[in-house]
Amino acid sequence: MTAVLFRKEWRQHGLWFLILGGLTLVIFLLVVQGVNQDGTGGGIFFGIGQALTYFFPIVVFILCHLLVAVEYRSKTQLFLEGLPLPRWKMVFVKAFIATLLVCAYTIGVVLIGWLASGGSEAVSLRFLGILISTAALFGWFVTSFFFLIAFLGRYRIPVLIIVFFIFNWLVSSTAVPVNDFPPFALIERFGFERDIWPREAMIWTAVIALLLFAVSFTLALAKEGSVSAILGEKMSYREKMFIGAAIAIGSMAIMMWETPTAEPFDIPGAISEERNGFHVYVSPEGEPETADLEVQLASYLVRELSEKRDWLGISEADFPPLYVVEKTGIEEDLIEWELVEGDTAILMYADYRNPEFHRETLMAWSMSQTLDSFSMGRNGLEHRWWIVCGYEGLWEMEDASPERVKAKEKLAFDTLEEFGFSTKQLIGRAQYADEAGWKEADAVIYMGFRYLTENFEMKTLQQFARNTINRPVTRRDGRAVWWDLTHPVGPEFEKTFGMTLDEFAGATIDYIRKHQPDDVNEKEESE
Amino acid sequence: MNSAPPVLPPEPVLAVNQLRRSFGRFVAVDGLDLAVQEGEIYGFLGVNGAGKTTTIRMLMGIVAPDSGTIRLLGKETKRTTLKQKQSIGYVSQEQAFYPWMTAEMLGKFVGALYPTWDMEEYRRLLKVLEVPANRKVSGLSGGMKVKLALALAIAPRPSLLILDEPTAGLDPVARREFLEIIKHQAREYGRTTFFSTHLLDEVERAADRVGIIHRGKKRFEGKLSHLRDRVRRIRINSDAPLPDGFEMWRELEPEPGDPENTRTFIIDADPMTWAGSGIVGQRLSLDDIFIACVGISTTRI
Repeated sequence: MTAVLFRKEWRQHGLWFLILGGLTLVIFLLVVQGVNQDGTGGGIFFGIGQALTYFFPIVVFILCHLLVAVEYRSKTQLFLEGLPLPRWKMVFVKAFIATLLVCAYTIGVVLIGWLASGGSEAVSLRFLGILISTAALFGWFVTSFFFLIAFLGRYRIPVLIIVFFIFNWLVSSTAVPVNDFPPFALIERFGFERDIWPREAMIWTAVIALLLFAVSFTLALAKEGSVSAILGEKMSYREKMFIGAAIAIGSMAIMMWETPTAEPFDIPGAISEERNGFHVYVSPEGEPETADLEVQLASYLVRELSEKRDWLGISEADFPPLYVVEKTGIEEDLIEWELVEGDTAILMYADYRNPEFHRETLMAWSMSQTLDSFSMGRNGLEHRWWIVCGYEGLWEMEDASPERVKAKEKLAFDTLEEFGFSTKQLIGRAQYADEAGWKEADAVIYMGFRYLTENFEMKTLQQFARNTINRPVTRRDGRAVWWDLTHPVGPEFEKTFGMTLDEFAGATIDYIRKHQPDDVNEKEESE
Repeated sequence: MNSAPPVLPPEPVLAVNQLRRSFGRFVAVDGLDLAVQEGEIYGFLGVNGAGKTTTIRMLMGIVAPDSGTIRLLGKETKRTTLKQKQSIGYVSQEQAFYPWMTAEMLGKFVGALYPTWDMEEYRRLLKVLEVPANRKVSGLSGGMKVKLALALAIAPRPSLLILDEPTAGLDPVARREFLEIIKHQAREYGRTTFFSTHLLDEVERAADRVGIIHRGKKRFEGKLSHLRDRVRRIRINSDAPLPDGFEMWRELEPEPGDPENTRTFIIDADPMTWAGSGIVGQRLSLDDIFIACVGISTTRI
C-alpha cells in the first residue's frame, strides 16, 4: 500500500525531483564559485552555508508545493480519500519523501563540496560529520516549515509573506539575536566549526522540526473531505488585491517604524577626541591626577585611525566610534577587546600605563576590529581575515623600533621553520593560527605584506585593500556581500599584483628566509 | 408437528441509524435512518444541498459522523474502516483523477489497494465501456471519466456500490447507458447499489427502492410504486377534519377557480386507508410528489 504511494509520487513528480536536485546543485555551485573561485580556505563550505540559508529554502518550497499543495489544489486528494487508504499514510509518504530528498540534496552538496575542495580544505571526519549533520538538519527544519505552510491551502502565500515580514522585522529592527537561536544557531558557524558538535542547536532544531511536522499531520488528519475541497480553493482576485495592498502597506509601515532599538554605546566621563567625524573615547581605570595620558592616546588614535579610514576609502558614517577602557592585569599584549551589542562601537581594553604597552598595537588591533565589525563579521571570515591581518601587521610595525622589527622577523622565521607556509595556510589563517599560534601566524603574514610594500607601490596595496576589506554591510544594505561573491579574493589578488596566491606564498617564504635572524646567519656561516 | 423456524428479515447490507453531522451551525444530516437490502438498487433522492453527499462521505469514512451508527456489510461502526472500504466500490460526484495517468495506470494504482481487484475484469470493463486504456485522463471526456470511475469501482468485485450523483454532467444518452450498466451489475452479480441523485427519472428507471432526504432528514423510504399509491391530492371543506390514518404532507395554497371554503392537501396514507375512507384523491406525478415531499410551493413559483 505504501509502495504504491511512493511509486505514484515518483511517477508524478520524479522529473521535478531530478530538476530540483540539479537546481540545488547549480545554486550551490554558483554561490560557492562566487564566494571563492579558487576553491581554497573556508570558501567552499562557507558558500554552501550561504546557499543553504538564502537559496535552498526556495527549492524546498517548490518541493513541498509539489508534494502537498498540488494534491489539494487539483483535488486529487478527494480521489485518494475515496480509496481504502489511511489518511496518515498519504501524509507520511509525502513527509518522508520530502525529508529524504532534502537530506539527499544537502548531503550530496556537502560531499560534492568536499570533493571539489580537492584537498585545499583540511577536512577531518569529524568536520565532515558536523557539516553533513548540520546541513541535513537545517534542511529538515526548512522542509518541516514549508510542509506545514503547504497545508494552509489558499492562505499559504499570505502566511508566508507575514512570516517573512515578521522575521525581517526581528532581524533588522530589533535587537533580538536571531542567530543565537536554533535553527539559525545551527547554521551560523557552518563551515567554520570544525571540532565542536553544535549539540544543543541540533537537538532544538530537531525538536522544532518535529513540532512543525506534528502540526502538519494534525492539520492533515483533522481535516475532512470537505476541508480538502477548501484547501483546493484558489485565491479570488479580490483576495489577491487585498494581499498586494497589505504587503505594500506593511512594507511602508516597517520602513517608517524601523528604528534600531539597540542603545548607543557610551561611557560617561571618558576623554574624547574627534577628527573628521571619527570619535575616540579613552576612559581611565581609576581617577588619575591628570588625564594627559588619556588625551595623548585619544589624539594619537583619532589621528591614526581617521587617516587609515581615509586611506581605505571608508566613509564617516560607516566608521563606528572607538572606546578604550583602561584595564590592568591583561597578559601578553596588554590589550583585549569585547563585542558591543549591535556593533554600535568598538570596545578595547588596554593596560596603557604599563611600560610594555605599545599604542601602535592598540591602533592596529582597533582597526582590525573595526573592519570586522562594520562588515558584520564578513572580514573576519577565514578566506578574508588574512588580508586584515596583513595590513594590521603593517600598521602595527609602521614606526616600530628595529628591535621590535627584528623580533617579528625572528618569530616569522621560526614559525616558517616549524610549521611551514603554503597558500592553504595563508588563506586558512585561523587554521594556521590553531597550529602555530595566532601571533606566529600573523608574523608570517606580516612578512608577506612587507614583501608587497617593498615590491609594489603603496597605491597598489591601497587598491587591493579597497577592493577587498573596505566594504561595509549594514542591516539595510547587503550589497557588499554581493561584491564579495562577484570579486573573490584569489582572482582579485592576482588582478592587482599580477601574481597568484601560490606565487605570493612562495615569495613570502623567500622573503622571510632573506630576513632570517642574525644568529641563524652566523650559525650557517660557521657551518 | 414441528413448527417452522421463524423467517427473519434479511440483514441489510447498509443501514444507518440516527446519523447526524453538522458543519458549524449548519446541520447537513439530521438523525437519518435508512436501510439497503442485499442486491437492491437504492436511489437516494434529494435536491441539491439536501445532505446526500455528506451522508455518502460518512458512509465512505471520509467524514466522521457527529453521532449515530453505520452498519456496513454486517458490521456496525462509528466510522467506516479500511477493510469495509475494500468491499465497497465508490464513484464520487467529481472525478478528480490524476490527469497524467492513463486508465491502465489508474487501474494498477487503485488495484494495489484492493485484495479482490480483478485486472482482467477492469480491462474488460474499459473495453465494454469504450474507455481507451492508454489515453491520459486529461484527454478523456466527462462521460468517459465517469465510465472510468465506474470501471474502477466495479473491478474490485465489491459487495456494495456507492455512487454519488454519478450521472451529473452526463448527456441523456450517456446517463441512460450508465444506468443500464448499474442495472446489469445488480441483475447479473446481485451487487447492492446505493446511488444518490436529484433526478427523478433516474430513480424511476433504475431504483428498486428510494429514500428521499430533505434538509438532512429522511422524508420517505420505500418503493416508488408505493409512493404513487400512497400520496394523493385531496380537497376538503375547510372545517372538515382530516380522516384518521391520513398524514398531511403539506397544504397547498388556493388557486384561482378553487371552490370557496375548501382546502387542498397533499396526503400520505396507506392504500387500504384510502380505500376504506371513500376519498378518491387525485393521483400525482412523481415530480409533484417529490416537490410536495421536499416542501417546495409550486403555487408560489
